Amino acid sequence: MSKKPVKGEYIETDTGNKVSRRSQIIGTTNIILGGKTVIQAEVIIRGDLLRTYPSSSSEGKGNPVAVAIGRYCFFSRGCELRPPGKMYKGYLLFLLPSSSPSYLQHELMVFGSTFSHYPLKIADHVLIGPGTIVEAALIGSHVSIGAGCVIGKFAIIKDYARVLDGTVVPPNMVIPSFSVVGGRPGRVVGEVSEGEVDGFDLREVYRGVGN
Amino acid sequence: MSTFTPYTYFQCPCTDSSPPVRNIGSDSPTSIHSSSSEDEKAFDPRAPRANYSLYPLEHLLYCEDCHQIRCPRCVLDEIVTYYCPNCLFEVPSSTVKSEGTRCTRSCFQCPICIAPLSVSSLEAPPEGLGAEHASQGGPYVLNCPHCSWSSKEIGIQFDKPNGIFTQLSKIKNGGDPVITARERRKDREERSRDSAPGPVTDEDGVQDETVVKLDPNEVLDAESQFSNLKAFYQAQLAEASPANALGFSGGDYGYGSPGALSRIMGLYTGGTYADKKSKAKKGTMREAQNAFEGLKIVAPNSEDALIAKLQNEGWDATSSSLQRDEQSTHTPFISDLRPIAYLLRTKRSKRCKTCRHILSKPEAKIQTTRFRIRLVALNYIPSISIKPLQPLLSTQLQAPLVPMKPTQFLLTFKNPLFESVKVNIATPAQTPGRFASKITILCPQFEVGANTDAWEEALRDGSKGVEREKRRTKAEASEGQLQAEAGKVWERGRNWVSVVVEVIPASLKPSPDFLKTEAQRKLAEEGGEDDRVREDEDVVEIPVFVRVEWEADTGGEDGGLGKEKEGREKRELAYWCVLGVGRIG
Amino acid sequence: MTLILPSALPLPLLSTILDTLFTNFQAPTISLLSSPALSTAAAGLRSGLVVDVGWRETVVTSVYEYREVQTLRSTRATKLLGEEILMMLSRLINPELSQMKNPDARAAARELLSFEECEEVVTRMAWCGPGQNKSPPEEHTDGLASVKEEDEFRSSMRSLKIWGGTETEPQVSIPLKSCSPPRTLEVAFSNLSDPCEDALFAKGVPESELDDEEMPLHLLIYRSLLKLPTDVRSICMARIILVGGGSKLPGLKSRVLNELSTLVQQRGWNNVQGKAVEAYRNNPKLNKARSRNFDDGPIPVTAGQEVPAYLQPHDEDPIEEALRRESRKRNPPMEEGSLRAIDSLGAWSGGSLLSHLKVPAVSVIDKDQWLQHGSLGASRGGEISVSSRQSMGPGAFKTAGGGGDRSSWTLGLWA
Repeated sequence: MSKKPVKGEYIETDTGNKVSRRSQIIGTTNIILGGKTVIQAEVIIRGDLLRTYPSSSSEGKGNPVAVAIGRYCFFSRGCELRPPGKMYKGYLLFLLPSSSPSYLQHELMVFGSTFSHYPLKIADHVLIGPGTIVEAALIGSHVSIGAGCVIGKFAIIKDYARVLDGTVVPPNMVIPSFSVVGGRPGRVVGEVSEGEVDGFDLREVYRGVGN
Repeated sequence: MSTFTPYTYFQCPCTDSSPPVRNIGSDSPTSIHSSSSEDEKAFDPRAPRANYSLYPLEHLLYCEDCHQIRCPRCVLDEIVTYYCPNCLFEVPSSTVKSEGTRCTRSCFQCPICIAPLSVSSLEAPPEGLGAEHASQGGPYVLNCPHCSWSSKEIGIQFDKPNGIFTQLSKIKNGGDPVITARERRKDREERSRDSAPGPVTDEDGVQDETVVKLDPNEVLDAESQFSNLKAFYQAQLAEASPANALGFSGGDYGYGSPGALSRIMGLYTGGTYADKKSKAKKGTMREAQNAFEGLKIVAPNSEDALIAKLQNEGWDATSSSLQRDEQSTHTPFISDLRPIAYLLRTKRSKRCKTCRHILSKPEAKIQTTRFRIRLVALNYIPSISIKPLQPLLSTQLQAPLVPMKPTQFLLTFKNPLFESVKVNIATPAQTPGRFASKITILCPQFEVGANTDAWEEALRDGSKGVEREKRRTKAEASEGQLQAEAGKVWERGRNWVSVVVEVIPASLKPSPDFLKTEAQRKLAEEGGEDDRVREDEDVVEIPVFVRVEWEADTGGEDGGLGKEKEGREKRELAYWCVLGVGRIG
Repeated sequence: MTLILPSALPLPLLSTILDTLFTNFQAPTISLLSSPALSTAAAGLRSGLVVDVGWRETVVTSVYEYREVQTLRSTRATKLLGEEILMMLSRLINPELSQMKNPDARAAARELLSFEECEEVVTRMAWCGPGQNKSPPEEHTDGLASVKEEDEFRSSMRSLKIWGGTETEPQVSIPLKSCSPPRTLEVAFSNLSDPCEDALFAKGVPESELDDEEMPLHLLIYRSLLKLPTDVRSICMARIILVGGGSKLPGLKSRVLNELSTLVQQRGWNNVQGKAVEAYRNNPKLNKARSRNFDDGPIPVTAGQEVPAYLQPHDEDPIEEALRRESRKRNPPMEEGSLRAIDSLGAWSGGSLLSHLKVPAVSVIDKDQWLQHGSLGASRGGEISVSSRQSMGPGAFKTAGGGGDRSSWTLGLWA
């Protein structure tokens, strides 16, 4: 599809992603978009928060990945995706990136720890509501996250889960498939019934987005 | 005013027998069709019981053998797999039986805020070169990343970072070791051996220097009291059981054998005085005598310390009732709370209660989300969506309904079947309840075209937008003087039809007496007539009776596509729906 | 599946429960067990006085050898306690309430605080004082009324030390969110025990003004014991089992014991009280020349056994003695005659305990039979029809014992 005129709200990429001009995508080289994904205005994606802790696998060949997003995802207005980070204790000091500020280096000397981000992986058909902040480690397919949620660090959300509006999912929480989660802190409040499964398909939604 | 989203709920016919709901479908659907008293027996969505039979379409299943809607109340659940929702490990049902329904690995919830706890080391990590990946030494604690609670607060630390469940079961709050059931058993054996030669009446305490020192007046916690009691009763039963004498030690056989049974029943019946005497000779089961046997005598001052603590530490030291609910024992104080092991979850299959056919069956594996069988009502009965006919500006979206001003809504019926269906809809002229809104369906009878293959739909991807476009222009063109014609379908698509329903919302002020219906007058007479609008009474809910007719293949499954159409059969389905269209402003 | 039921559950309700369980949960069989008997079993006992301090009512059931002997009820339970706490709190929030009439004040108080919040205060902060009426120790008699005097004395001393001083009343702050505006109440700690006094012990209300169904706990227990035959009473009084949510109230157990022992000291086990009785009893002449006639008054049914034991000459009964000796050979002596409270794990744990032990219940209902016949199919077995109060009669033997004889079954106690 050809690029729309400049006036349009969305830029459509070759793989069919519709990215709002008013979104903030930082570190684009570290972000993978699977295609047909909609990114609305004021969405922030932090691709710059890269992993500094070298992984055992030989991942470092190509571009390092900070955020990986599948197909037919929908990021509503004002949501923020940031890779989770934590302190790795007992790690070698000289592996610190030289760019890190000196005060941080000092601290790290004292505690002998490094701070590193971890990639954020989002599968297909994931809907993220407006104003939601996501710091999860993994979000499975067909997950719907409501408005104004906070998804804590390293949370794992499995397929077909639904997070209700205003939920605070605590860090490290695992949300099993077919769960409905709500509350602060979030807890499983119900189950997604068999009939609702089809409703998680976001293809229609994708088609509905246009300039 | 809170926003209002229009909704459609379907009534499952399984609640037919309940009084406020009329009998539909299950026995003879045709008779209902012809019945003229439709209005009188109309389903009342405000009836107290109505709530229990109304479901969104997505929650309903459909039984292909009964040709009927099935709701969560008329299906049977069968557990396929147990698993821990935190570590997602499957737990075999035998383990569930023996270990209980909680995760026995290291999955715990915070007793304060129920967030998941994570294990972390207390010790500062080893420093210097070569210390990487060096195992961090203990002690370990459970930390809550949400509310910063730590198991250190209740004096619990662990030696190893894994197998927390087993470790925790051995530590009391405060760090003292729990005397395990096994140690208790050992102690018991020890004692019984010592006391065997002597008379039973011999008080314990003398032989207390056994493996573990147990105090006969020990203050037992609930778990050890239970295990002590159990052991005591078991010993009593075994003693009374002749099977044991024959060498069957314990086990089910010993208790279940007919010979033992009369003795077991001694536990219950005791018998009359005469009975007791005769039984005493055989050795009736006696009562527990001390803490070893699970007897817990209340010391007169036992609760003084509790009260003193309550007084000194006040409100903040006590646990809230929500926190207590999660605990297995009584925990008046925050310091009594223990980390909560995750409750297991299940994958369940569902069966029709009447014909026992499986309606839904998930794959047994936890990681997969597929279903082997999934008969959802969504694929069998037309879905109904509601939207106002007047295109609304985004600012006045979900504006409240204006009393007495006719408002038109579009009901869109979408057919999921691969046959075209005939739809009849009917409503009472007025909504039930104190505030009766008037309802008129402009086109109560129509036909909805067949659904097509998903592939076809995918291929028609592009044309869809055009269709939408068309609809929009139509709406815009006639804006202002929208005039729905009676008896005609408003709009029609490949497998959907929109019809117009007109609602004249009632005024929320009590209507003057001459306008009141009989029922309302009666209600007023019965007293309790208060003019205040009760909760959600301002929502206009329209009961709609829907009857769907279609022709389907006999024998073969409904909607089996591409099959030869031999032997067509007429099917019909009738049910009540409730449409929530809006709030009266 | 095992169902634990209060013994007074009406049959229609039971039918509905069974219908629901059989049709919705597909249980192959359901065993019925009565909750007081299980509470007793869960305390490791065979007999006892089960005091179930529940929500709407307090039920005192005396259980003897796993049979329910009698039941008394009172409306003084946690619900009333909650209402008293609500009144106390709302008076603190809005002092005007204390001037209002009672029903009005109650209605106003309901508007002031939410039920949940009030319940929260009840479960978290309410407590029960040791009781003020420490009667001077009466002359110690060696009858049934012997009480652990030292214990009581110690507890009163101890309590004096803790909150005896009036110098500084300790305050507790209670954060309240449901009132508007939200606020933190400062409450004197002792105030938090007052509602319990009013609700459960009917402080300041003379006994004569109380209805039968609103007896305070200690009186209820006392009356219940009084109605029992002497031998059952002596066993039950040493096995007072407090269960139910209300029994978790800190201090309640010792308070009940205190009150009870005071009552027993004051009145003995005499059904008749009042000034005349006092005078009669204190009359030294009569005491000396006590005649049998004293007992032959119009005391109902159990007249023969109602003689206060300490008034009776201790006859040596050779048969009784022989029996006692015989039983002593087998078993350790039964604790009896003194007041004693026992902690129970509660009826549900009791049910679990019995299921662990695979002890069959009297009434085991088969699914097919129930669905076929309903409650009408239940046979009223010989033993059971004789005394319907019997919780787990020998009828169970027949039902559970034979492999084939499933055709007759019973609803036991609930029939």
